[in-house]
Amino acid sequence: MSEAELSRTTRVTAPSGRLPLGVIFAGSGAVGVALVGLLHLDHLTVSVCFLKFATGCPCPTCGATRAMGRLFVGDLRGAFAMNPLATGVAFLVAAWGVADLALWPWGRALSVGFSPALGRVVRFTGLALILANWAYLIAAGR
Amino acid sequence: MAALVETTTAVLLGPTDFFRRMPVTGGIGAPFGYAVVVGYAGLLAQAIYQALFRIGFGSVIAGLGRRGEVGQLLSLLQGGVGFMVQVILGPIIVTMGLFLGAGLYHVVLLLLGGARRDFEATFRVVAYGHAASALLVLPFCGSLVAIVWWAVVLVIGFAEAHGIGRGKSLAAVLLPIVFACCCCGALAGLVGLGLGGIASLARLVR
Repeated sequence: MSEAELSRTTRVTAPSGRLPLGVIFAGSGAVGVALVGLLHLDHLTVSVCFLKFATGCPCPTCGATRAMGRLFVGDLRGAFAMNPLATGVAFLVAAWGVADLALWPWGRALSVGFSPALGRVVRFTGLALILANWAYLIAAGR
Repeated sequence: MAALVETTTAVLLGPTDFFRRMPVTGGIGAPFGYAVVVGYAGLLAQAIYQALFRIGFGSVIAGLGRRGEVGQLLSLLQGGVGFMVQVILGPIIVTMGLFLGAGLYHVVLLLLGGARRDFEATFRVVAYGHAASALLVLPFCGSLVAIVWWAVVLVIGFAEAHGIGRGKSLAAVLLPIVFACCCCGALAGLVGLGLGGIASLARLVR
């Protein structure tokens, strides 16, 4: 897709008066990462995954808590190995939070919109990523 | 107070009508305030019941604790420190759960092609869905009834607020529960049962 086509199908704006969701989600995520790291929740000896408990198969978010624990100590490679998608989403949300923070003084927040066609592509890509990540977690024995 | 009771009654007894009439724009202030007040009240009720249960059956729980990890987990999560943390940090716990929950459901709705309106619509449904927390005041069966009715309210709410079918809405509510949220048990436990108990557990397992 050329740059011109992309600009026609993707709309990045910073409307005023919009809720800074990036800051809220990134802040909540940061608190979560800190709690996991400080309380060592990634070292629980009990499995808390219902799906894994019932079937022995990890769920699509298995390893996310351990990935957060790795992120807390700055082990990026370990975090990606634990759950690549959860770690990627964490970085995406962090970037969104930084963008919203930068726009905050002007009372604006980041907004990204897609054309219906690109929206479908993004949706199917998201689903494909979740399935690929799940396959990886099963293969890696999370 | 009268408006709070009126809203809670309307959501619990007539969710279809409530969400059909609910505006999906206009700011998140009112639904946010409602969710924090009702959610915190439910959390307090649950914490008090847990404390009473512990007073009544403390020795049984302690006995379970010596038998295995699950028993130890239950024992520590229902401890006195956990109770105090729930009481003190309750509003923060409810706020974090509200935003993260709404964010998660909106992403699932987007993936299923069911997010026909903005995040605010999803947020409003999740916020008013906290009306189910009022059912936590029911002794013994409160938690079970609240969880089931919360899911029902969300299914109806998403369908009405986003103008989608009940099937797609049901999928949006159940998919995270079945395939994802079950694994964030450590964090869910943290939110639902209190930091203190988890902290004690963390010290135990290290």
